[in-house]
Amino acid sequence: MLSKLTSNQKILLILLALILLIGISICIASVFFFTPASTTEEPTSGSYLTIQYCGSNPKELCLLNFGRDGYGNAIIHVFIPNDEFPEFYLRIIRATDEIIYVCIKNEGAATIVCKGDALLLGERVEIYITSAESHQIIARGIFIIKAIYILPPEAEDNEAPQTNLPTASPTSTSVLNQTPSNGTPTSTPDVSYPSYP
Amino acid sequence: MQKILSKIFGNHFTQAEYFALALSGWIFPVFLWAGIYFLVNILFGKIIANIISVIIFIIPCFFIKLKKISITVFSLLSFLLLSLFLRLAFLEQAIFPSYFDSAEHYRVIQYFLNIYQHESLPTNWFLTHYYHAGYHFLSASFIHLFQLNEIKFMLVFGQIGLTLLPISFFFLLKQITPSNTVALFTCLIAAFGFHMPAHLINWGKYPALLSLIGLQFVFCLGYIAVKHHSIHKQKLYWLIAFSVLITTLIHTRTLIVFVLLILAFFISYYINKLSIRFQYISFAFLFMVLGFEFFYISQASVLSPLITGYTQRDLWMLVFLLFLIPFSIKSFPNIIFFLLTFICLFILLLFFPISFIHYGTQTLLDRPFVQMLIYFPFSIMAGLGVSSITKFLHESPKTRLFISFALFSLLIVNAKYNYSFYPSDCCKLVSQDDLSAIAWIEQNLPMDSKILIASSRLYVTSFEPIHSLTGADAGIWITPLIKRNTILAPTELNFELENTHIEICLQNIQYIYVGGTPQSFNQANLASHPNWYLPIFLLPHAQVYEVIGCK
Repeated sequence: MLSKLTSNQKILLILLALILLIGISICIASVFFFTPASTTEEPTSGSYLTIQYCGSNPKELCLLNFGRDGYGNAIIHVFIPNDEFPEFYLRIIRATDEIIYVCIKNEGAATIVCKGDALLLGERVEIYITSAESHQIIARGIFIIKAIYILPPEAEDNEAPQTNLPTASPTSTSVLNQTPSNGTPTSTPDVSYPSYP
Repeated sequence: MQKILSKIFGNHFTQAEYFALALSGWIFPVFLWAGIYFLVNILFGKIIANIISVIIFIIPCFFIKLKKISITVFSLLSFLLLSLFLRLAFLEQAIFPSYFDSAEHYRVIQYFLNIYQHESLPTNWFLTHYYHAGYHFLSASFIHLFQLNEIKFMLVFGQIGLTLLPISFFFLLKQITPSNTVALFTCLIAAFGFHMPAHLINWGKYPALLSLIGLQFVFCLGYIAVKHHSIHKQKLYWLIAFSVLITTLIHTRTLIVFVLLILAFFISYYINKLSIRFQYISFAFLFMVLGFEFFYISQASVLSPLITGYTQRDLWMLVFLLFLIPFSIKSFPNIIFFLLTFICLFILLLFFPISFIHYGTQTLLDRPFVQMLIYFPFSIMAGLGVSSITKFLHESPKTRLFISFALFSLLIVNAKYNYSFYPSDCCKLVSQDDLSAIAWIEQNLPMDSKILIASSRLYVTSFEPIHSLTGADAGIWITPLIKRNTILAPTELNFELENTHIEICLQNIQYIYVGGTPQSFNQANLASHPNWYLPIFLLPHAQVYEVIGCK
């Protein structure tokens, strides 16, 4: 078949074949090398549970909500399935650092209140529920803080937390009294962001 | 439309060419209907307007003659259906039309809808600042007749326009080459080769997208006028004039593009008359000018996204285009010279400022418009290059078939890995949280509230005035959607400063809206001063603060 072609056509054919070969190689390479990494960052271990946000009628270990007290500290309410559940603390891994939250059981309630440094709205945190006795990990979960339940100071010690995730709503005026949060500021807006990117 | 075109052009074109040309110019009869619908609505009311609309829609059905469709028309139809299917995937992830332009389009559509609802023109209608009135007028007409949701209509209409846009390339390339394969291949390049024109949807530039349909149709008509001397010219010129008028109404800047096209045509016509030696020199000069232009664009931070937009998203297509250009020059030197001159001219307009009375200093074309436009000559050049290659291989049909198949495959593979059918994160201003926040504002904040929203400077030409501000988050939708007064403030505003708080109080601003985009206000700044800014609505991607502590 090639014998029918003129020399110009042969050069052209070779060129085209070369281009196609390079193109196909790049495509194949891009499939292998540039495929986005899996969103599950770490393999889940069978040795501990996975903790998630609670549903409307929680039965298993789950996270009720993220809150903030009148002093700017973060409060995390954790639902425990029964009274036998071992005492624990929370190890929270953030983008910038790692914090330990001390957890206290509410008398007569199936919830544990954990307190620690302030967390930011929209922040991604990795929570390890760790046994206070053996320091073994009981459960792990990754959360995006979708809403922060703001507790008035006077109510904070007495009021039992809601079992439903609070929806964002106008906060009480008591927030005025709170100490400003000293959490890490969110990224500074990029002023050089081009119009019509 | 096909009937009108066949009346004008007789039997000059094939069934597939008529099909492509008619689909390319679909907006013009639709505009005619919208004009009639509008006038009848104002003069005789909605019921009569609806009846006339139904008649207008039904009458053309009587002229449809079911004929056996050719394999080419079938291929085009399949291409369009598949393309529509892929384009509609965009809607799966689109909550709202993208970017800040969409909010303005929504507002103007509302303005026309108000005219429809009141069935009379406002007394100051001729003084009102219209922003690409053609698109908004057409959209309002559809929305009013079919009682559609404005937001959904904007999203769906944009994707339909995008689907039909490449069809004019079939007609054009079929006329020039005259190969069905090359024409189809060019359609494919125009549709899925470059990030434009699909990226226009991410910018909310719906009028520009619609104007491209008109522009490409007029280009096809212009080609017919130049190449087919036996066609009845008077009717054709009327059609061109009408199409130019409507296209200019859709997007004013297209008038400048038409002028540039004519200028490029005359320059290339003149160069064609010169000796071969001078033609070579002209090509060399053109490449030199283009080189200088691209160099200066890359040096100007405001204009450089024109280059980076293509190099980052369409690198392989650009490499492919560079490979094809020598072939296309060899077989179609005049057309390539014309297209390169056209590119050269419209890029040149980015560098020359012109002062307008109401708009300040601007350039005749801006960077996003040029970025959008450049895909048009690129696609034609790529198509002509492929045509040239297949011409070289005309003695070897099997090889030609293999090369054609390989090129189609490469283009599809490129689209698979480098082309996005979903809304780009660059320009999504509205999230579900924003919608919740806006709904909450509507229910809880008084009508006369003044809300501070984030804005950033507009950078689309090198001569933008400092006061050109555009919305930087979903706050830009507050006024068009729920009629609350919003005040734009630079996104870098430091809320930790006392002066900022005093200034906000002096302007009697009661609320601050913080959206979820990186260009929104710094929420941590606001949260650090609860004695000045009280959080009254908190969601991860949307917050509302009340300004307190004003003295």
